[in-house]
Amino acid sequence: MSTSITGIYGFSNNTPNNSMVSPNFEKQQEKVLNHPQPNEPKKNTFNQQPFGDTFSKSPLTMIGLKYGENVWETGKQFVDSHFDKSENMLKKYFDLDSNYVISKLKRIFFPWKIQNWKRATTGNKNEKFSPRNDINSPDLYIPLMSFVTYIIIISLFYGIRSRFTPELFSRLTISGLVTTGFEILIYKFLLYLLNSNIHIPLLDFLAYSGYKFVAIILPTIVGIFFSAKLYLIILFITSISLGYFMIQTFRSIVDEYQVKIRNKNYILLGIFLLQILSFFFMGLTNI
Amino acid sequence: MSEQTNELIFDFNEQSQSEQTINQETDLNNNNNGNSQPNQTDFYQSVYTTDSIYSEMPRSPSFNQISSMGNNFENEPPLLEELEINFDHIKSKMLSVLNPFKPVDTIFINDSDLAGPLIFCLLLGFFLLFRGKINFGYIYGLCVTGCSLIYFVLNLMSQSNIDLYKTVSVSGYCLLPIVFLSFIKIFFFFIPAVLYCFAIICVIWATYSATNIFVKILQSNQQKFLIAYPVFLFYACFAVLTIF
Repeated sequence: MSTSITGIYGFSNNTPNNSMVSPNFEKQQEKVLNHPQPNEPKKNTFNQQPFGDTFSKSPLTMIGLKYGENVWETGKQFVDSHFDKSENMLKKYFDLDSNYVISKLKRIFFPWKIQNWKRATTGNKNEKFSPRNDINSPDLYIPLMSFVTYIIIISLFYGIRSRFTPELFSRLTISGLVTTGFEILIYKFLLYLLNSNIHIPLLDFLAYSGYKFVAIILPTIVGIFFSAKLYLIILFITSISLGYFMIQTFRSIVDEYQVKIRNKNYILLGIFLLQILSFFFMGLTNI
Repeated sequence: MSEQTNELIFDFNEQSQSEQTINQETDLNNNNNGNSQPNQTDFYQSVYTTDSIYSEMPRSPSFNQISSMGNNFENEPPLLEELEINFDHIKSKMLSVLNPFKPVDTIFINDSDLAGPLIFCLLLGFFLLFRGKINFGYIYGLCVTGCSLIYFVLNLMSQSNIDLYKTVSVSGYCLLPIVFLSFIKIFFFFIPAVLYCFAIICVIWATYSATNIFVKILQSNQQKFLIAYPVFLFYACFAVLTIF
């Protein structure tokens, strides 16, 4: 990364320190502008031109090229600085160990035994603990892995019934992602209705929606090996238990803000019904 | 006008002179006598190809290469070494994947190449062709998405970094059991239960060897199962593609 800051939105006239332009650029430019002498070796002029012979013949083109390189450099610095910030943000969601994963999976499958749902905060009020230290903190590892597991298990279902095509992978990925995205929009809308000051990061929503995929693996496995009726029963039971999990999670989030209790209960009921709906939507449609 | 043509002809002469020197050197290597005949044809070729100013462009870099190659023709490295394909390394890496209970060599850490994985992917596609499935595109897509997801997850989860080239290299080498699975399925007929067990064994074998290598590269021994699971999913996708 270059140390000279040329300004994110403005363009400076100086070239940055690690400019991509070669040091002999201007000299080469003058050589080329004059007619090349027959005795001079041509390789000096052609070695360091970014484009070919014809472009380098006019000074306007040179100015244009330098301007383009400036734009590229500032754009690159902009992207780099934001990439570092977003990477640090993402790292918080992947900072786990095996104990966290096992405990979280137990919570998703058996949520009715758990008493403590609130996320722990450090001394600074807005800062939460990472998943390694706090069992209630959301993470992105479990949703991602369970999503891919869900895809594999559904392809197993189709494969055992000899209806597998490789195109199924992409179809399931896209339908799963779109369902998750739509669900996140509904969550945001419902929480906005409750209190317009509620501000939860998008990645948290992605994590909470992703926990659904963990729970839906169980009915799918049942559906592969057993009959359709048993599949539907297990689907219903699992959706109710995940609905309970979601209610408790969102209640602990929403309790930090000032909300009317009646509204809160209605919104939580809405989230519960949403879980059941999405289970039926995402499960095996061809059983 | 005549001056310009003179200059043009002079340029051609210059070029053909360098080519002449190369021809002389190659002739010396080949124990032939250099005669004027090749030079004349070269001259006519150069006259023929430089109709416009644009055709001069692509020739100029090769002009440098030719002039520098003319000096180092004997010192050029052999082709395989230049492409960095080292058959000994490929063989030793294959053997270390096939025998996962041996401790992992440092060969995976220092020297990562894509030649072996490329061969394995093509071999996998080739064996799938025997069963009437043209899945080269799907194999490529799975490799790209799977390896980039593994790279993404491994980098975010661990304290030390790994680069994409190494992940693709390691994942590709450990694809060997899946290639073996596809090979077996061509020739033998299994009842489904046995086939699924065999597939699970191959996937676990591939996962075990890949995880050992990744743990050694990343030096994070506590997160062994966390690293193993994405790799398991990657090879499970390939197994599903192979079996069904």
